[in-house]
Amino acid sequence: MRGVSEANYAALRRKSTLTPPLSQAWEREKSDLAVALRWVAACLSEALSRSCPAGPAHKKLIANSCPFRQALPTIPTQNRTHPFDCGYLLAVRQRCYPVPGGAYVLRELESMQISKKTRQQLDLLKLLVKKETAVRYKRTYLGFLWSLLNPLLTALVLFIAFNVFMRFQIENFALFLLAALFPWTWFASSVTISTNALTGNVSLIKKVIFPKHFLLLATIIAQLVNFVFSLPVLIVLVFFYGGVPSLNWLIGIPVLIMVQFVVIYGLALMISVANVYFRDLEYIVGVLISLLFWMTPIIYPLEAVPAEARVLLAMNPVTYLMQAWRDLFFSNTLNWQYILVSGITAAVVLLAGLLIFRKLERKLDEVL
Amino acid sequence: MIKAENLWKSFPMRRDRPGLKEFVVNAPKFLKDNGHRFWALKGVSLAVEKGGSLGVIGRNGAGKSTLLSLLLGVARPTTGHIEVNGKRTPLLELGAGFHPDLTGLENIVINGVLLGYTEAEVRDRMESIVAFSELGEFISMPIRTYSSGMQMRLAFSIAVHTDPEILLIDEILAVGDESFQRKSGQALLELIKGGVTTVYVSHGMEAVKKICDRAIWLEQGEIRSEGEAGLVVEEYLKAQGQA
Repeated sequence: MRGVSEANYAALRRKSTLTPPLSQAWEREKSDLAVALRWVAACLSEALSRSCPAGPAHKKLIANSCPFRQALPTIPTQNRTHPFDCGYLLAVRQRCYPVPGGAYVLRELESMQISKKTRQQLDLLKLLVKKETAVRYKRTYLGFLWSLLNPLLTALVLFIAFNVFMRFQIENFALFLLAALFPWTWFASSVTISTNALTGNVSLIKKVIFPKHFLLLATIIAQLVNFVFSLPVLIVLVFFYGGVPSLNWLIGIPVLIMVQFVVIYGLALMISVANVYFRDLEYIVGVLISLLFWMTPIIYPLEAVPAEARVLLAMNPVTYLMQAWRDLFFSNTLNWQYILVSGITAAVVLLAGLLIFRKLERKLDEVL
Repeated sequence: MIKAENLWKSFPMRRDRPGLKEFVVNAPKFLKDNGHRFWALKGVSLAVEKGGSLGVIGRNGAGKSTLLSLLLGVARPTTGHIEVNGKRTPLLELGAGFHPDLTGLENIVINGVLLGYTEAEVRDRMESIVAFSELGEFISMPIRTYSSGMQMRLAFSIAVHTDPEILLIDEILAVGDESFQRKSGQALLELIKGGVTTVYVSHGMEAVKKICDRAIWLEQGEIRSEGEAGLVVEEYLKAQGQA
């Protein structure tokens, strides 16, 4: 604990709850919005104080502009470790908040209770993602570096393959392929892994109360991290083939990531819960994914598909998504038509997934 | 405060799970209740007031653990109504959610957050959890290097440090070696006597008498007897002696 010692803090707490003006201040500040804003501000300044690269003079300036500066006098100067630690940091940590009157409202606030719940949930999700990634590389020497190394090596292999051994009519085939292959890898690995997300965590599901869909979200996010690490490789490749960075990426990448996240999540919801009831699904999914790979324009362009087979392609939820990814990196265009189609597909898949998951989740404890 | 009224819980009873083919062919039949169900609980009602402690005794398969998982909320009753006010801390299977490749410290954080804390709150309690577990420098080693006793000790330490309001305990007082058993039993007793609402499932009749003020005796999913802990235990032991 920084700033105020345990004993000082206890003294402070006694004193402040006894001071009469405090209750008036409390009344003034009661509105939830004010509390929330204050808390956010305090959090921001705490984050700022931790990473502030500025020199002492500069720091003092910022400290003086601190909105809770009035709270300073109650805390002995010698107990402050740096100019920012004027007590409200402690207050934030102790889940109470400083009042401009010079004391602290040392009370759990109702609005804080809500935000505490949300924060706990966010922490849980964060930790599950961290666990997912950490466990994967835990016993390797290179560790997390593999997230970057994997796509890099994949790119290298394909680059060699298509520039040395096989030469296609399509120009820049390595880039052509990778622009769709990396997003596809995110899709395929997420779906495959989340098939076992519920069946592989039986003890957790049966013995601990927590939102089960977090297991799926964590899987997908962990894979998303891998995908994000493959983006630099892709971008370097674009440069290599003479492309230029464009504004399209700034819009396209987040939008497409969102759409794809929704599709994957929807599918994961269905498959993971269905797999609890019919474990055969695990193997079927493996086969279906490889079928889907060939049903998706990844190693061939969409135009290469004969007209009568287009209907089949349209049934595939990721056809247009992958095409949109490729358009973004390969031809540097935002294909809104495809994005819209994939967006609608994603929404439908998610809706179906949510319905199925909610229906089947109720009896999970009986069959797991 | 825990209140449960007329709880019924059944599990599907199939000799083997249906294959996908069978399911597709008979889909409507499987989606419906096909009638072959095992009733683990048949109309159990109970109430534990705030700060009270209830012992649940009975033979294997009487429905004790099912009852506990319903109270915890990881399972839903087939019919019936449950009302629980307060934060529930399970002491069912210690170390559910531990990952063998993560260190003790990392597992403490994950487990604590799973039990309903924010990460910061867990870190605040980290020191006392580690101290209680007596794991020393093992705490920064992966869990897979622990003996099973050490894992239990860690899990128990986390659970008692989460300021539980409602404790749901399933036969776990036998944790670790002699001295840790005494210590953990003591910590648990302090919590329970200190006003934590408790439901305690056990085969250890002495412990039930010591810990609980009331008890119910389950037999084949029904309450055979309920009342003051000592009396119910006597009655149960007498019946077991005859059998």
